[in-house]
Order: sequence, then C-alpha cells, then structure tokens
Amino acid sequence: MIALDIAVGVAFLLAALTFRRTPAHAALLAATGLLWFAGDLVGVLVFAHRGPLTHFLLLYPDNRLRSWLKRSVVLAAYVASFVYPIGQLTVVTAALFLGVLIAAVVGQSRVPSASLRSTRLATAGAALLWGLLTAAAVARLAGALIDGFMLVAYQIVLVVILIVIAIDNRYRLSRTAIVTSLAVDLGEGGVRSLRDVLAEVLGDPSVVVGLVSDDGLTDEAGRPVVLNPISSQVVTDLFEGNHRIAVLQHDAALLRDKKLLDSVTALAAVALANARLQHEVQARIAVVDASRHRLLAVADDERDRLEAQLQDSVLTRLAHVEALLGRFGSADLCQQLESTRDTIRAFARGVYPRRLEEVGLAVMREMALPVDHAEVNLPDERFPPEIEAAAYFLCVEALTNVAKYAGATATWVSIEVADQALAVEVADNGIGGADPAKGTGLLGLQDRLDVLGGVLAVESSRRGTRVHGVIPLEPSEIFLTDNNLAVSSARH
Amino acid sequence: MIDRSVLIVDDNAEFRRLARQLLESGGYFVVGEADDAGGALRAHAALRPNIVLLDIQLPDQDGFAVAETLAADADPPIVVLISSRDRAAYRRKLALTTARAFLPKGELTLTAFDQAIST
Repeated sequence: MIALDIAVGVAFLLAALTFRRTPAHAALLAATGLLWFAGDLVGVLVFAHRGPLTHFLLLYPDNRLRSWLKRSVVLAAYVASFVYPIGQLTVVTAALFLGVLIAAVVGQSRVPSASLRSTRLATAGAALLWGLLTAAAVARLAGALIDGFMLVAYQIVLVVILIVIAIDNRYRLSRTAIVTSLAVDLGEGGVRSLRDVLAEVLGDPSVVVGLVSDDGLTDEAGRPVVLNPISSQVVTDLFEGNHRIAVLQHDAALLRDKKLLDSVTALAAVALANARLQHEVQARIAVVDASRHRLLAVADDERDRLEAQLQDSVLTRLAHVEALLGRFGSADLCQQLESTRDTIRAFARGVYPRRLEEVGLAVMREMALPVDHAEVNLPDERFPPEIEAAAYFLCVEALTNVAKYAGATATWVSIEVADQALAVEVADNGIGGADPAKGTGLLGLQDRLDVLGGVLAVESSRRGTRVHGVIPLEPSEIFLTDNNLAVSSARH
Repeated sequence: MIDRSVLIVDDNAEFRRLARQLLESGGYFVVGEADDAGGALRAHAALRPNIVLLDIQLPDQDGFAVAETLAADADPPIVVLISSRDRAAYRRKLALTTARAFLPKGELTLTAFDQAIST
C-alpha cells in the first residue's frame, strides 16, 4: 500500500519532467506530486494535491484557463483541497464533480479542433476523478466500508490518467510533423489553394487569406478580398522580412495554440514568398517565349521582304540585261539568262511562299514540290500564320531531303488536325539515314516547332524515313494567363 | 507603230527606276511615274499615256480599282497589271478585270511586255 502511494507521487514528479516544454503544466504536475507526499506527512494537506491536479486537467493542453466557468471550478477545487474540513463534505465533492462535468461539456465548444482530443481526455480524467471521489463520499455516507478499496482505485485512476495524458502530450509534439507536411503541401504549389491547406491544418474552415498587393487585399486568384471578422475571429499578419505580405482572418480560438499558429503562419509566409518568386520566373519565361515568337515573326517577315526584293529588283534588273543582250542577238546568252531567272524565281518562292499567307497549306497542292510523286493530304481550313509556316517549312524541308537523299519511289505528305494540334507527317519508302543531329535543316525545323511548343520526331530505317511533327493549335498557358505578353500573330 | 508612251505606277521607287530602264531599252517612252492610285489617275489625266504599267498593291487603292477607273475614260489606255505575287493570288479578280494583261514582276521581260501590249 505504501509502495503504491509512493509510486503515485513519483509518477506525478516524473510526468512533470516530460512536460518541460510547457512550464505551466510541469509546475502543476510537480505541485501535485509534492502535495501528494506532503499529504502523507501533514494530515491537513491530505486533499491538497487535488487543487493543482484539477487545475492541470482543466487546463491541458492550453496554457491559460480561458473560460470563466473553468476558472471558477478550479478556484473551488483549490479551496476545497486546501481548507481541509471543506474537502471532507460530500456535498462539496459532489458540487465539484458537477462543476467539472459542466466545464468539460461547455468548455469544449470553444476549443480549436486541433486541441479537441487532448482537451477531451483531460476533462474526462477530471470528471472521472471527481466522480470517483463523489462515489466514495456517497458510499461512506451510506455506511459502506469501502474506503480502502476506494483509495486503491483512486490511486490507480490517477496513474492511468497521468499515463494517458503523457502519451497524448507526446503525440501532440508530433504536430511538428503536421507542420512539416504543410510545408511540403504548400511547396508543391498550385494543386490546392493556400487557403484550403491552412483551413485544414488549422482546423478552421472559416480561414480567409488576403494577399497584400498594390490594389489592396486579393485572394490567390487575384480577386479582391474584404476582411470582416466576426466577434470570434481575429486577423493575423504574415510577414516576409519587414514587409506585410498577407493577412489571415481566423478563429480567435487558434490564438490559444500560439505555437501551431506561429509555425503555420511562418510557413505560409515562406510559401507565399516562394509563390511570388515562381510567378516572377514564369513571367520571365513568358517574356523570353514572347521574344522568341517575335524573332520567328521577324525572320518570316525578313523572308517575305527578301522574296519581294528578288522579284522587284533582281529579276527586273536581269530582264533589263536580257533586253540589252537581245539587241546583240545572242540567243545562247539570252537562254542562259532566262534559265537563271527561272532559278531565281523558284528560289524567291522558296524563301517565303506568299501564297501560303493567301491560301494556307493548300498552297502545296498548286506548287511544284521538291518531290514530284508525293501523295498529299492537306487540310483546307486555315491556321495561325506561324503554325502554317512551321507546317509548310517542315514539309518542304523533309521533301527536299527525300529528293536529295532518299531515292524513294513513293512519298506521302499528310497534315491533319488531331487533339488540338496540327500533325504533320512526311514519309517515304527510300533508303533512310536521316538524322536530325546532322545538318541544319531538320534542326532549324526543331527550333521553329520548339517556339510554338511543338515536337519533331524523325524515324529512319532502311525501309524509309518518317518525319513527324506536332504543333499545338492552342497557345500555351502562359500566353493565356498573361495577356500583356501574348504575341500578336498578325504581321501585315 | 503604236503609241509607246508609258506611265509606271508602283510604290517601290527602285522598281520604277528599273522598269523605266527596261522599257526604255525596248523602245518605250516612259512619260511619268506615280507611287499610288491617286497619283496614277492624276498623272494619266495630265500625261495621257497610251500604256499604264500598274502595280496591284498600292497604298491607297488596289490596281484593279484604278484599272476600272481608267477603263471608263473616253480614250482608255492599255493597262498591264503587275504584282510581286503570283497569278494564282488574283485568279478571280483577273478573270473580271478590264486590264489587257497581268505579269508577275518576276516574269516582266521586254518580250513578255511586248506580247502583252500587242495581243
């Protein structure tokens, strides 16, 4: 019996050690343990430990008694514990039991959900304790001689409550793990909104996140946010360095778990700073992308200008030379000149096919392709000029390769719309050997497709070569979300 | 011998210069140049050339419209349309035009011009 008595006191002192991180809890548990031993030595202190113990059980896991009811019950428990004769009164014990029960039930509605389980365990412990004492008092009143049994039961219940709460407290420490997973969640970005993640981790669905921007507070999608905290809510500022970057409107009850709120707001601030950096990087990528689009357009304009130049001046000049030569009657020279003019004409058309702008990809039906036996399957609809140009040059380049190297007897050209993209394919039954890594022709096409977010694939074997390009018809997301950077495809 | 006076209408000064050299070397007489549709009509009224070498793409109006206006004249000139684009680009409009001929600029030679005038 003495062993159990000592074990209970020691258990409280040990438990106090495990609550190092929350000094208020540690102090109450230590006081309970010391008063337990004091009660063994000094008769009037026999109930004294119940004061700090009840205080602890109604307090845990918080560090302040926040309700008027709990404070009253704890005060009553101290009075009943230290003023010896009062503690003996059955009615006082029963009243405290009732008070603890009410505090346990009423107090829970104001507890943040993250602390709910701990609060329930502790208040249930308090209720059990006082219930047991009340039962013992009533039994004594009824003349039942069960004091010895009740004492053992009381001591065992005390130890069990202590163990349960120590375990719960241990688990609460792993909250750090929750906060870390929050960091991971936020770091992934974009999948769930910051607000949703915060609402879940804080256990407060009413959380409102306002990002500080030049136009005032906005939500993550840029819509304006107006904070109107109701009486149970407060607003917490989030800082990056000295700058207020966001505000959090949340349930005031969260302030009780200051550590959780602090780490969550710190992480949210990091996540927001991170999101801002990502946004900046994306904006920069969009700028580079836009500039590549512009360069492509400039290159095509340049080809167009070059073609006009060849037509207007070089060929006209040669016509003049031809006219002058004609006077001397040199038919040979004139013929030579005429074929030179033909070559230049063909070259001028190849530099930039103006008909492409006018009739689209159907131009390949009316022009002389580098391969004269090609079977072509072309769409009649029109596409943005840079896409048509890319598809056109892909076909011409691939067909030129076929004519030069493949020794094919059959060639197929196919351009089709599939899955919001233009699928371009040039295939032949020649000897193969095409390699995009060699020669600049296919590489240039690769670049052209890259700018448009497309891909180029070349398969080549002894049975033939297949050049396959896919050009998305929808602009990439960056261009959809950032109108300022969208590239105008109109060139003329 | 037909009247070989020519008015050249094109917004590209270099082309006008080269075309003038070409036609003059073939015995044509370039009486004037214009760089837009308005200028072409004024020059035609003032100079009364027998032939107008008329670019289709002009800054203010297209060559087809100018050709229609010229055709309505009491003594209409021979109009030869030119363009740096192919015949195929204007297939429909060429079928309806009152102009005598169309030549892509790349195919403008003395022989081709002579043929266009004499047909």
